[in-house]
Amino acid sequence: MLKFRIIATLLYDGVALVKGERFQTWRRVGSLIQAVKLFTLRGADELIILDVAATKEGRGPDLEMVKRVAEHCFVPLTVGGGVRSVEDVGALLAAGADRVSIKTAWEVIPECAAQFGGQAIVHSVDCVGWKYDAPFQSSAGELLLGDTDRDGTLSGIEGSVNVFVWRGQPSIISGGFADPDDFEDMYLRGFAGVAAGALWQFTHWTPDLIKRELAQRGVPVRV
Amino acid sequence: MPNVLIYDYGGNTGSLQRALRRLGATFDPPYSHVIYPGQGRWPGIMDYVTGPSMLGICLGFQVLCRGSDEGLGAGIGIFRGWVRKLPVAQLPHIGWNTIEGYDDFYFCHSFAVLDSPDAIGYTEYKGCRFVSLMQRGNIWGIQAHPEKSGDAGMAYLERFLKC
Repeated sequence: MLKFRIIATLLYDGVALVKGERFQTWRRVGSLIQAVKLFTLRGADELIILDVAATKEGRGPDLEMVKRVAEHCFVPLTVGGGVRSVEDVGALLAAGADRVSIKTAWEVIPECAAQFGGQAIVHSVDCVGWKYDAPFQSSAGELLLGDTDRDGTLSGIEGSVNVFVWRGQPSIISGGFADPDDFEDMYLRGFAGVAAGALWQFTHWTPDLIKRELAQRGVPVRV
Repeated sequence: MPNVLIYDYGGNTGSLQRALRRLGATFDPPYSHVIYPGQGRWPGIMDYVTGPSMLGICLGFQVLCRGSDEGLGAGIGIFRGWVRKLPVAQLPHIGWNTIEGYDDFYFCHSFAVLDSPDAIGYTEYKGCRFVSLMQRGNIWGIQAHPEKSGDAGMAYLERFLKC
């Protein structure tokens, strides 16, 4: 049976691991490589590394960073931030990414999927309430739904239930999850996985602990 | 020490190389092991290489079968079975899933062999059971990505390097 994925999101600003709130006020919290080793050890089913400064600084993805990370990563690695073209995607895959996440330049997704296969492409969609910043790209293998208003807040999903799972392709969701109840809720709604960042940085929860708790509740997870 | 040829047909093989290097493999001829990696798209009829021990991963595993509906290409035909699109509502099949009687592995694919006399392991996704492990002597095939499957995947690759 397909397992519900518990994913660690790592935000990177071109220098170090950062933590923000609502995708602003970035604070450096440590070394990216250390975090990659730690989360793999603590049972993360997948890592998502987002370069939060690339698009803003008008530069492409940091290929050297991806190479260094891939050296230590034996679970699937998704990389995003500053991806604008088929060439960017090709370079990231060659550098060691398993999948590439595209948000701002979503128009290039069909071309990238045709070139590398849809399974290599994640369409990252911002959703605030019911508003989505782009039409879902059916050629992408998976959708990553993120709520910018809740990101990094650890506020839980209570009171902000305006997320729905898209049945066209698998979807994962990120932003503000606080405890096992939130994860279980997302599983019951049909999401393929949950990506969290602040939860692993600033609370006692680790991917392993969350998974053990979910397993007791009957959620299929990899333990 | 195993000497591995990763047959390059245009995919990314970095993860696989790193995993094998960690297990002590080297990549110089003469080769003791040949791996068809699991990246890229169905290459169609192609030249092929053989070795004393062979392993096909994901797409590389499909290439070792008789053929595929994906691009209607003929395969190398070592494994008996035809690769079809999984008859399920939601594709691709992405994530960790169980190879029955074995362990959890990471999958990322839309096509698979539904049954074969060479099957030694199956996986279920949304009500569809497909072949996830095959073996004929020293020729192995796995639909999942052992190089991305943590400890379970490393153990699988280690066993292959010993055969």
